[in-house]
Amino acid sequence: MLEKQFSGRFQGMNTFTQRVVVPDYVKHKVPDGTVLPATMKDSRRFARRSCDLTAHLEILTGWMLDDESERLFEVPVTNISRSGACFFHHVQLFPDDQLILNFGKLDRKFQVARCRRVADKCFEIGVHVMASDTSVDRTP
Amino acid sequence: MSATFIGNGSDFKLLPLAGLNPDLLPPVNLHLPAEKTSRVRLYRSADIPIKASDIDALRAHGITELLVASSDYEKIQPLLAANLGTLLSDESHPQRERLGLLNRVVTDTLREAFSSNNMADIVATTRELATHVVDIGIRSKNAIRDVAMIANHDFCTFTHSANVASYGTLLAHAMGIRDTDELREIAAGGMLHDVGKLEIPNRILSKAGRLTKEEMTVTRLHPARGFQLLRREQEVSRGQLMMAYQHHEWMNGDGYPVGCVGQELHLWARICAVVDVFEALTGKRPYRRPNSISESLTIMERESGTHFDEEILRCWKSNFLEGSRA
Repeated sequence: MLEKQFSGRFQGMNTFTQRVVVPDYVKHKVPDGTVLPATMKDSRRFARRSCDLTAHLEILTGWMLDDESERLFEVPVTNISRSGACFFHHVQLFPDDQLILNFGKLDRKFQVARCRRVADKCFEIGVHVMASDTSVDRTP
Repeated sequence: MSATFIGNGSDFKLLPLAGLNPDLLPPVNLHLPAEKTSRVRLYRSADIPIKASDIDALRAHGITELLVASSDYEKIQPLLAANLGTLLSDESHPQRERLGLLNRVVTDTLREAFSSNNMADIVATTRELATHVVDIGIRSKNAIRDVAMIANHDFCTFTHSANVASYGTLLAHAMGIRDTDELREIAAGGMLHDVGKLEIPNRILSKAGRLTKEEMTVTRLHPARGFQLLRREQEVSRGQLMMAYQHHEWMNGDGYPVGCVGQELHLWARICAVVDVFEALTGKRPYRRPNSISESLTIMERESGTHFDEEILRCWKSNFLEGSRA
């Protein structure tokens, strides 16, 4: 679901983001830092750790998006690993869509690997890292 | 081809009588399958051209296909594809035979295109074939039933895709979609819906038994892989992409890869889901016999509204009922 109130400035850009809020029943009930099992279904290469972070999401290329679409959001990140992350979003993203997750001082360019609907207007998005340097290239 | 015929040390392939046009095809030896065996006997040698009266006589004996040696078929196949429009519009042949010819040519052409692994070629080929599927589909009566009767069921991706393309187009037409361009896109989308299987190991796809949990997980990646392959192609429309990505989704969210529900699913994907399962149920599998049309429809009815869109499934079923009344 999308919270309509603006929730802060996106780092370095003169625009606002909208915060994606997730129903409580959807959130994982595991303590931060718990190592989650990597199943084949998840297509994961590295163990992931649960977390309760908020990241700024900037969608670079979205298959369903056009020039008018919102591209900046604040999203809850539920787990991270060496090669990827997982966050909730209010709309579906599609395989190979490209995006940037900004965790404050750190930002990384990712590509969507999988998307799973977990509730009405709530999708769990699994992404894998594309570029790990600090100067992220925003060119899709 | 589902059956393998043997004779004189070479394999043979079935050629529908609707494809026997002496003006368009080079002369080849024509054979008949011997009764109750898989062997063949010579019907007409290449130096004696077949006439229209011969074809009528064969048809009077209930024969709708002849056999040609595989080496000869390789020469004929590109000509069949190139002259498909002419052959399909020859109304001296029964509709069912022309639909059978179309199904055969689409299957062969897809097999060739898929083996190239060149996605741009595959997409271009499907667009061309879709024209013929739609042209004959919209002017045929009771075509769904005819296609179900003549469809090959040999458990390979090309045959399945050819059948799904025909079924999908005819179902869309029956549902009231009349725009020819839209129908062509649906036909081509049907041919492309399983393109992600190109990236699934053949040992899993052709496994002669039930898949293990791990193999099932790998197989279930094919809608997403198909989407990834097709989204790079400019010529592929949004609906076609959704046919590839969403054809295993269920109306109640129990499907994969995303678990979308109801109207979140593209109409063409909901159409594709119905005909995809129908084709799979009526097709041969190494571990079970093919289900009859009525058995398949009964099985599908149990999942109406949960797996399938109720309205689309009702329309699909009604076409078979109308066909049996006619």
